[in-house]
Amino acid sequence: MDLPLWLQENNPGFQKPKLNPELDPGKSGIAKFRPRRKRGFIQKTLEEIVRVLRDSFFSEELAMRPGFLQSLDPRVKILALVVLLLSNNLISHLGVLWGSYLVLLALAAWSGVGLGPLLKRVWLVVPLFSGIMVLPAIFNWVRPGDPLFTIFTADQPWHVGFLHFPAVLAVTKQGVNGAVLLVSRVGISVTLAFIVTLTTRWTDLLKALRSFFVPRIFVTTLEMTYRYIFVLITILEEMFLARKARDAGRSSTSEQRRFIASAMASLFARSLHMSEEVYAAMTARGYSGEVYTMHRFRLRLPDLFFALFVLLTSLTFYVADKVLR
Amino acid sequence: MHIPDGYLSPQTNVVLGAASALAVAVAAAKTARTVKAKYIPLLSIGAAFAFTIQMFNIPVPDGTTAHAVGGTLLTILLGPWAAMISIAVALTLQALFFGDGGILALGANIFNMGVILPFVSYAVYRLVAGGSAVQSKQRLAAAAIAGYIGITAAAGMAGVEFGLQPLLFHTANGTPLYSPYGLNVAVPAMLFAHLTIAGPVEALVTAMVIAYLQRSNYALLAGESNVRTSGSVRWRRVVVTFAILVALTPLGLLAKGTAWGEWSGEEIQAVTGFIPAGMQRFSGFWRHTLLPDYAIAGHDQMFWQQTLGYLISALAGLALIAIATFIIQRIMRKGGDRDGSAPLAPRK
Repeated sequence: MDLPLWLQENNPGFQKPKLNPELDPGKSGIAKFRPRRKRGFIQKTLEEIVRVLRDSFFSEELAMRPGFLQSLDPRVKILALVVLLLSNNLISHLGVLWGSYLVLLALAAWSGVGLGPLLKRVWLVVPLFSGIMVLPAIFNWVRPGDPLFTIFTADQPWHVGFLHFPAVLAVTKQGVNGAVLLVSRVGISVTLAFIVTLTTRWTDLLKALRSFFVPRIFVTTLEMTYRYIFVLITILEEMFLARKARDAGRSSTSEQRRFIASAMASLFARSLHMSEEVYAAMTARGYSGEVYTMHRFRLRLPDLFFALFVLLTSLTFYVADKVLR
Repeated sequence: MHIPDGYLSPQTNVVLGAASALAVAVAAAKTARTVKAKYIPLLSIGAAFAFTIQMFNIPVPDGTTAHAVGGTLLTILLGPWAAMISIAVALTLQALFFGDGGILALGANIFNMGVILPFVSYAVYRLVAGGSAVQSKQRLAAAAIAGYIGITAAAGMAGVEFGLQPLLFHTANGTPLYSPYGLNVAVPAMLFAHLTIAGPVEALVTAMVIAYLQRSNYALLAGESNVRTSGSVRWRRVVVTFAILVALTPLGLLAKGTAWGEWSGEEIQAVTGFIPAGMQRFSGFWRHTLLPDYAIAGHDQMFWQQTLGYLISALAGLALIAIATFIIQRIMRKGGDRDGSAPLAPRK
């Protein structure tokens, strides 16, 4: 991923800036970043800010490139996303599920989405959270089922207080199937959403929501929110950078929490103030409570083909799931 | 607490989505009436604040950090209706663009964090605060307790949603199709995590921000700014609506759930505790060979196979037409602007 230089330089969230000695010879002396004892709350918050900015920047950049998925009408993409999510969540045959995933990945690769980072972003995170969540459910103590292999057999069932454990501790077939199914579904759903947001400009995506019975007022609020998130995040970044600049030595946890509380409160006060100003600015430009928008989406032949294709494939996968079950 | 897609069945999502849509629609009407034209800028920036507040890393005693949802804080600052919309908008953006929470599960997430949380928080806050002065300690305590109970209630609701899944959706041999834990595991697990960690963090953050505002900017708390939408909550109506929703939710789930024979077996398990391994194998034998709906399943199979045949041929037809169109288009305008992206978009 190629971030613009200013984003890399201005944001301390990137822990190891690759300093090029030719570009900035003065800095090369301190290029060796000394790892800090522990990432504090300031650093973590700053990293999170950079992550949000990076995600939005990266996806905007990718969505502007020419490609098949990028060229489709955003309305068709939203429709496809919902249909595919529905069919994926209704399918329970693992083979069919992963078959549909391969088709999806092929489409994404064809549109210039880098599969490596995408897969890493999904499959390094999902199994970690969802996998750990479902892990206990594969044992028969938590959820009874047919034993797949037995871990140990005690002489008699256990009783701890009001809890009763059977004598045999085993991994169950149902448990493993269910766990694999859940993790696959979560991962595939997340990938689907990522592919759509990576190949569509976010403003277009929000505009397209209007065509799906989402009230206009809600969509307008969404669009404005999307813009102001970046304004507020910038304010937040400045607050934390300023704090980081003043940070010397160690401060107590309660002092840090007081800082967080005052930061939140002043952020709220500032955003309230800003909303007054924005309202005044809108009124000055003729806003009277009614929102007018410009539609400039137009369905083309490939859009129709794609919509039909998605509908048919998800139906096919759904039916194939019924047949194979 | 953002539920990803895959944990809840689409049927559950539809029911909760409808409930959330209804609640947000009511909130929109209420807010539009009280705040009038200022509505959109106020709520947008409120939602942006709701989004940003979740990015704060809050230092907790053991040296690590935690996140707060900030729902209670928003409820106290903006009133329950405006808070509802702000949280709903923030959750929508998170689901669409940042992969926090599923897209199908958006309704469920809005229901837990955008409906249950503000309302429970607001009720608790009003109850504890009573008629106390804005700068009193009682208000502070009310904020903390509201934060604690509000997030725990939302988590409990999520636990109930998880817990209903294995009861209603599983295959014939008991493989859970969605979240695998029953009510007896899911609800206590969610409650425990939030009672011990997330709840105190939320209480702390809410109280500290309120304390700061009491010291430095209590006009915001006093409701002097005309943004708040409080006071217009008709509690009886809210309670009745929720009672109806609660009554309808399991019905809606059952309507499209699994067949009766399947989950009555599960019920027997739930009542008698665990079935011994030997008996389990036996019951598996029963299910596979002697179940009466086997013949019906055969009929089903025929129908699905035929449908699959039709669908595959339709797909093949579509592919042929698409290829033909593509070839014709290429011949018709050679060297033209083929990818059709917006002409103003910069090319690289």
